[in-house]
Amino acid sequence: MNAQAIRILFLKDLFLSRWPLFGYLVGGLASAAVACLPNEAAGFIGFIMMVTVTIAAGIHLIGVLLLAESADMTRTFVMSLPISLLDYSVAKIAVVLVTFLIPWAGMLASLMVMVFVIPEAKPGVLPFLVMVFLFMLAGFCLQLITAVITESVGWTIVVVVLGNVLLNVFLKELREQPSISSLIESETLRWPPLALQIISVEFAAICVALGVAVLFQLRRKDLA
Amino acid sequence: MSAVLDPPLGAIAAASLRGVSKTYRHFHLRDIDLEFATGTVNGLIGPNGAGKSTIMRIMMGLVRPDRGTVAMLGRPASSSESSAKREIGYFSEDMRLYKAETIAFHMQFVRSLFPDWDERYAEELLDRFGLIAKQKIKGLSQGQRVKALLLLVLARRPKLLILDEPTNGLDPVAKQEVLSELMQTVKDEARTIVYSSHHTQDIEQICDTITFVDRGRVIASDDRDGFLNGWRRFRLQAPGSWVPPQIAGLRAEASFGNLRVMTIDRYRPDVEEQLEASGATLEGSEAMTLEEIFLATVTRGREECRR
Amino acid sequence: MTDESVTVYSVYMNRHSWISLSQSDPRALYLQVIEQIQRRVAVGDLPPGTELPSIRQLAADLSVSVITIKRAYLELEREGTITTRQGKGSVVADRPGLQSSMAQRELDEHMNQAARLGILLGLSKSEMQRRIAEAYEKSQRKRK
Repeated sequence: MNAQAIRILFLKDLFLSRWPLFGYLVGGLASAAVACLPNEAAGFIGFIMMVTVTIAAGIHLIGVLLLAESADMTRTFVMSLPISLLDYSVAKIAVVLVTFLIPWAGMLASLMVMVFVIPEAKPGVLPFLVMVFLFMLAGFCLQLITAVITESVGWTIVVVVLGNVLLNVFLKELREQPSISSLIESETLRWPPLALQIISVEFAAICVALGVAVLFQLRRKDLA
Repeated sequence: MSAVLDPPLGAIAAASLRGVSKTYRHFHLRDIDLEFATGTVNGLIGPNGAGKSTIMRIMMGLVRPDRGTVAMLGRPASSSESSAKREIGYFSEDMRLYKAETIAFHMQFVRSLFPDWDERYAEELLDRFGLIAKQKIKGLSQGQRVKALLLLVLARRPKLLILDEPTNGLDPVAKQEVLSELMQTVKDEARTIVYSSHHTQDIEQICDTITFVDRGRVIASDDRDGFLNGWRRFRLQAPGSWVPPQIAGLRAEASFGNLRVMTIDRYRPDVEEQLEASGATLEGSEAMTLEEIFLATVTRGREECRR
Repeated sequence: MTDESVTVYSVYMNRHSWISLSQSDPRALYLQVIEQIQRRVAVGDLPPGTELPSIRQLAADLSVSVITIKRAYLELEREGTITTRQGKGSVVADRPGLQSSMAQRELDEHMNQAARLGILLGLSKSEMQRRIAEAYEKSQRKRK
């Protein structure tokens, strides 16, 4: 593995995605701000906006950085440079993940800060938010491996739609769990065992998905 | 490979393929054996879909062959190995740059990966090719796009250039600029070019050795003069009962009444005498262009396949 | 070839201007190179002792294959127009053999072709001789 080559590829892709990235960061922060307005309707709208921004960012970044590269034949150009398949795969998966994490983490972090800063806010909602955000991250990782394996826009969209449906099911199930739904209106920050279990499963899923993505990319025979 | 052009730098070939095969669903590349001597310009000619691009992708490690070995500048070609690519410049017709970015962006990107990048030469090429660094790729014409890609390849001063159809779709002016720039690089006899095209004229102009590829096979490989001197076409007047003399490589191409057209791929100066001695009257004996030689070779190869 | 001589030539050759090759000329490129160098030598543009560009330099300047120029130089050397010293490049010979065997051979080939056509047209030997004499005089008048 050539760390220098990976760094150059990573920075190149970060630069290529600068405009969508900027847009999603601004959109995400604005949604987070709306969600924190002292108004129940605004809170709901802000939450929907955040979910929308996250889903849109995921599709868009995978499209720009991953799918477009094989469709537009820019990968042939990149692979003609002194770069090994491992360098390429690691850099690619890392940059797609990081560009997604920037608006994602931006939203989550600003929510966390505001929950403690705004006097009327109820910090008990935090574990709920973390579970939802991790769910969306796991969904994104699933889209990522689909895009890496199939290189197909169609299949990636199928997984996006599926993830969206599952997210709604997940939200509904969470609200029906008394230990979780009681958190949302709670003034104190608590981490019930169920929440911790869900979070660990989500983490595990994310790690597995990323591992599969790298492994699959390495087993690829032909790049052009 | 070439008697006239001895490899000037010892015995190490710039690139070699041994028994390389690759099977796709509708296409087989079969037993490719090729060797490109250091300091030479080597042409691959073949119809579209003959396998030229696949051969080049295998050489670059972009495609893994099912069988056979490939050595590039003395190192194995492989997708996990990037060191050989440091000294190889690859251009392929279907290669694309990032549309939304400028030429300058690509120059900086490539420069960051090549310690030997020659910035002065890059600036010179920009000027000579009539390109503007601040131009975005999506605004470039086909010719400018090819020239921008070639600039990125040439300015890193590669020891080995692998060029897949670089002059395809270029106007005559752009084509001449590109060919002339390529020939400048082999002034240095340590540099080697492998060049594919379906335009026989470009190949005839700049290549020292020529390889014909058809339907996934190498059907002939020789130095340029070997082809041009070895092939001849004769027009003969001969009665219907005439039996052509047994001369190696002599073949009937067409007949019309008493007129016979024959070609030979192993020409020697005494062939005309032998033909006349056999009772035919020689009307004409002509050298053939590379294009005619290529067509005749492809036809012969396909006929032999059928038999 | 030393760096010096390369500079000298790139000044006065200035790419393409020195020799011009024609794609429509049916003769092989190396024959065109030979002929044009011979002509430069014959009219004194290249006096004896003049260094010629290296094979690779000339190939690059004319955008033709190295093998073409190599063949032309070998031929020119064989017939005595130029001499090549190992590692020092080629120079115009002291007494260049301008009655080149190349040109002789080419002439023979044309003559054979003419004779063949004459026979095909049913011309007599004396008729052929008359025509050749006529063509010769015409060309001579043109040159004056």
